[in-house]
Amino acid sequence: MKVTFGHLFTPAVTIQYPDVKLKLPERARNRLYVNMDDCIGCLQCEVACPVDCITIETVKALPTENLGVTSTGHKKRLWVTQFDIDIAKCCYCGLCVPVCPTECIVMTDVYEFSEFNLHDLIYNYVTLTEAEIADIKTRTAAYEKEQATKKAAVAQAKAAQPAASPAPTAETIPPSN
Amino acid sequence: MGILDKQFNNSNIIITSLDSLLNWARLSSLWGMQFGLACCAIEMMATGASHYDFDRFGVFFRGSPRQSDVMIVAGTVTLKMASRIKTLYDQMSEPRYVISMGSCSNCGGPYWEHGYHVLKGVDRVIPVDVYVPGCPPRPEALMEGLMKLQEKIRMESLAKKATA
Repeated sequence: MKVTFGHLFTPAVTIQYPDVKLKLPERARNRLYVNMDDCIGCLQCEVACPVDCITIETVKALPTENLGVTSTGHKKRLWVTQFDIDIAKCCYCGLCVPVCPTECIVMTDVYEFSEFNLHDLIYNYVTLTEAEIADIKTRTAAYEKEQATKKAAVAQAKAAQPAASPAPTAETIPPSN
Repeated sequence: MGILDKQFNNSNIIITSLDSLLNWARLSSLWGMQFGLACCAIEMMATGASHYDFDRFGVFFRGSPRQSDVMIVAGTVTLKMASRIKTLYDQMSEPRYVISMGSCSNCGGPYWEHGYHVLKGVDRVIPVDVYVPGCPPRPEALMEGLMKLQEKIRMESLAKKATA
């Protein structure tokens, strides 16, 4: 009885959740966040993910395009046309965070993100619009086709050269660098 | 949910008042059917314990499906357990709700790719109302999921939804 009465005077331990929230530890692992301005599309996080919940698609930028540099000084060479994290599959291991060379993928302290639909738990981080992505893809495809024809022409010229006279011909297309 | 659900074409003052009364009654005493299957169950138990105190939301865990309103599926649903979940869900009386707690019951979680024995999401056997992400979710996250379910119940009506 003495113990019971003693408990009468102790304060309640219940955390009044929606009003009062417990402070999370400093390195708590919760929802992922990707800062797309810093992403270079290196796929390190996709490879590191043990449950394959990250899907990244990249397109090589043309030599004429300048995508800028990240805040850590890395040069961006790829367009990131898809960066989806299926947070429903994520096991919050945090393995994707240390491998990122630009530290753009981080674990935040947001843990309240229930959804009525499972599809809403697939987070799409890409900042480009659909039209922009389509434009980038057509441009790159055109560039690659052009390069391929150039390469074929060079190879043809090379094959034709030994058979022809040793003097250099004006028709040969100089190899592009 | 229920026999009168979506049975009225127009919502008049009687139906809307009855709606708010029924919804208030339903959302403020959601008796939970505990379905702890793995580590998420530990968090569910923690939510029920005094630090987080699920009773504040009117959630009592019941051992019987006949007495419960909301089934909290917490943990990895194996193929063997899937048929049991279906049976127990069918035994629950309407209106009944399901909260899927944690990555495993949402979509198979870490087992979604190579798990030969795991059901890839409990929504393949029973309809799920709220998906709570986390591996396992914090007790607060489960409470937030419950509050989301309460919001959903608050929006329910006996009248058919206007299509226009």
